[in-house]
Amino acid sequence: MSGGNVDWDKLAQFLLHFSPWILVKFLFWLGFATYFIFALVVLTQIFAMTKTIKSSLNVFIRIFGFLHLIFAGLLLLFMLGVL
Amino acid sequence: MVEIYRAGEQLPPKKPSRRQQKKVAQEMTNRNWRQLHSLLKKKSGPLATAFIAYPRGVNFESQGDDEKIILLVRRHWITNLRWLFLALILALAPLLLFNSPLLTSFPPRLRLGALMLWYLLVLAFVIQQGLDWLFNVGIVTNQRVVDIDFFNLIHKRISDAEIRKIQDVTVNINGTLRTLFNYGSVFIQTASERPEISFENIPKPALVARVLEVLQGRQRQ
Repeated sequence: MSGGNVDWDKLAQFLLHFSPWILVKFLFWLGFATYFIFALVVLTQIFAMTKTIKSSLNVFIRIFGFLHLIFAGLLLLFMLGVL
Repeated sequence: MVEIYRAGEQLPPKKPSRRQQKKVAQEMTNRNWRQLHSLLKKKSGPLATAFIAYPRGVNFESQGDDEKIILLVRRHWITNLRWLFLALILALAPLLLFNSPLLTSFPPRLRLGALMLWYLLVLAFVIQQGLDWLFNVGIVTNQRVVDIDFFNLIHKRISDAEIRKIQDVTVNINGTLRTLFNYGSVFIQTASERPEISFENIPKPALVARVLEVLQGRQRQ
């Protein structure tokens, strides 16, 4: 059965090659990638905030921001391997 | 008209001159300031607390050369309990949902992924709330009041008003918790561009209002 220029039978056969979990996996990867971007935004925001209010605490907050970004990156790589 | 006083009769008190009045007012303000200064030092906490007097090593973006920070205030720690409690519930939720049919139908690796994603969401929530508390500050300097607001990760607002432009200071403490833990809001009406600056849910609001009052007195002199 075909409609227009799309061969639906071929498309269905192509999609059947994949496990139904692939979509779930893709969504999870997307989730971890989004968290990595969030960590980047947090780091830039920490820099903006610590420029506005300067205190001796800022060093620790910046280190935390960097460690958090590294953690998010490593987790993303780990999950790309595990999932 | 000449008034005659008999011997032994007490003379009416002499009206102080404007200069003397000014000197008395100045002495009173200085005395008030000294009292307040020692009180502030007594009530102050370390750098990561909600009420810090004369914070060491702290300065802000638009601070002038001869401008000194007298007070740095944040929301009272008790206002953090709500989101901390929510974060705790969210952190414990997977323990309850772990045996739910939705999660048990997942392959083990994906179940791990789902769990990790859930905890990342909780972590993101905690980080955002924590930074929100840490960087939303009110600053009182010897020249101005500054309100620094971070609404979310990409939106900040800094407003300030000179002490001499303050028209009215209102302290608002309502509710049992606020009365019990002595925290509330200070609304500062100003004649500057932004008509009102508010420090919300800060500890010791009456003391902050007193500081502003004494600073105004010093500015007038």
